[in-house]
Amino acid sequence: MTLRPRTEFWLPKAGNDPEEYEDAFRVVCPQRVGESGSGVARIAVSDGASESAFAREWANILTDAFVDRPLDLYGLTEDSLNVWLLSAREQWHGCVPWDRLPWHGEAKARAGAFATLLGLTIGAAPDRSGRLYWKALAVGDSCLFIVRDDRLWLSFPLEDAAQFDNTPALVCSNPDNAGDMWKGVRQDSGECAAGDLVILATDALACWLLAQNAAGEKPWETLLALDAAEWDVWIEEQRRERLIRNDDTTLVIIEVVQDSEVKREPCPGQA
Amino acid sequence: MPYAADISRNNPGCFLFLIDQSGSMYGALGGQPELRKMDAAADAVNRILDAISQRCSQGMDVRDYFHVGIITYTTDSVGSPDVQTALPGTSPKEPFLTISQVVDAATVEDRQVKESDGAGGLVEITRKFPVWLQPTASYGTPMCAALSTASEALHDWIVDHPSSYPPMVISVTDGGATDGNPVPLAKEIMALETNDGNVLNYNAHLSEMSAMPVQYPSDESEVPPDEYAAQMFRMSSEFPNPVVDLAVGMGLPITKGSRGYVYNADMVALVQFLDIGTRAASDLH
Repeated sequence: MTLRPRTEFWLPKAGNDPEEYEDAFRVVCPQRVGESGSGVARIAVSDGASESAFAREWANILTDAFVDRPLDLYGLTEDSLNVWLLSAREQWHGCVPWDRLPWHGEAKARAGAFATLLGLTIGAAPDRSGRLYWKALAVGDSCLFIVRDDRLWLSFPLEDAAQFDNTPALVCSNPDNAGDMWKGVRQDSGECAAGDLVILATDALACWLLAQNAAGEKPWETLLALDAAEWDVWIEEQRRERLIRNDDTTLVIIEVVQDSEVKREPCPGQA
Repeated sequence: MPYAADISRNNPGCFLFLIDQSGSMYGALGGQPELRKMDAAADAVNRILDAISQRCSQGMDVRDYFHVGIITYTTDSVGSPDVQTALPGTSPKEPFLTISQVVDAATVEDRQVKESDGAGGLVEITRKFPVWLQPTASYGTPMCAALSTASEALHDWIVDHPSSYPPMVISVTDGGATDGNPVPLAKEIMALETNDGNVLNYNAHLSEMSAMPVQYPSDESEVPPDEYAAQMFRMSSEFPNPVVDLAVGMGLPITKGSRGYVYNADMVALVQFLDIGTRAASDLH
């Protein structure tokens, strides 16, 4: 089995410019995932909290860090997560122009930026059986879905549209303001199956997907049918109909396919 | 579902402050002889505008998620209403600025404050405090004239923003209109509506009486025996359900049916009271 990146769509909140989009995502997918125990796909999605300052920068730093500086999800502890966050936090601190901040930005910058983080790795099973395993880490309401056998097989970390509220767990760039972040950390893992659709989405779209699924629809079919040109129009329509909240919106879809199905092309997120 | 409109540049929220600057506001707040009502009013408005500005700040710039107006009212020496606006470039007919214009209009003062040094001690540092409203108090209380002015401005704003979260009107007064019965005019304001619900009219009542402070009552029997308290209660909107949910989450003593009315709340409670509405409308995650 291997992975075929299928969709990477994003759209800022209506009324905001593209450079004000405060979600972030990175997809890094090696040519051969899982072979000889090497080759790990790393996918990260983050949703910067607009109420905090320099949230876009923080969301980008977190997603870059997740794909570029591997975090050992199998041995994750509160300490190892904080050590891993150390350089990300330093990087954020370094990108704030502290000596040029206007009065309204001072206290907010001191408080730090806040963002969700959803990180997913897909690689060889630890037992070297040749199977593919996924492992996910989530802080907040950016969600991972796995569609298997044409039904929603996994919804992580939230499982119900009613669970989305305005107070998700968040990763803070200022360790003094991070609260008990570890309490908000969720982890899950499992085996991939050929034909799996792996979907990552920030909250507005994730909430829609769960609501549609609960209503007996197959929302992944709608998402798979969209091409890049149709995506913007479709999201704007859902926002107008109030089916999707007006918020920065991000969608990543990856297919798990049998090797025989693979006609390799470079992954979009690949360096 | 009402009171659920998202707040964006295309669909901004709206705050309109109505500030009583009559002579009686020079008096001390009940139970706090060192604090004049006009100082409490100005400080509360400055603090809440600071909070709204910061909420819209992205660090270097501010997103125009809100329009803000400040209407002040007093009379001249012969009792004629003097209804003005406090933000530069505005008028009673057009009292609103975008929040980025509000930010630009602030006079920023440096103040020394004591903050934790992180090691159990306090350290004095300079912090910037924005000021928009200076305390002043003289002559009569033409509350009816102020409410009429607000009603017209809100009507015009709603015509321009029919799908926005309903405007929030926040009055800071010691009651006692000198130009008639303000209740019908307040009801008129509360009847204005966007597609997302009715205008929310909140009242912060500052009194010289040393009665127990009252916050967010749901029944008229809960207000103190102040001659204006029952009237102010009737002029106050019930909090919409999403606000109740948020306030309960913040640990505030609010239930379904509670009204946006506080009586002689101290400064902390007053700012907290003003903060509820803004939070419900501006969760910009």
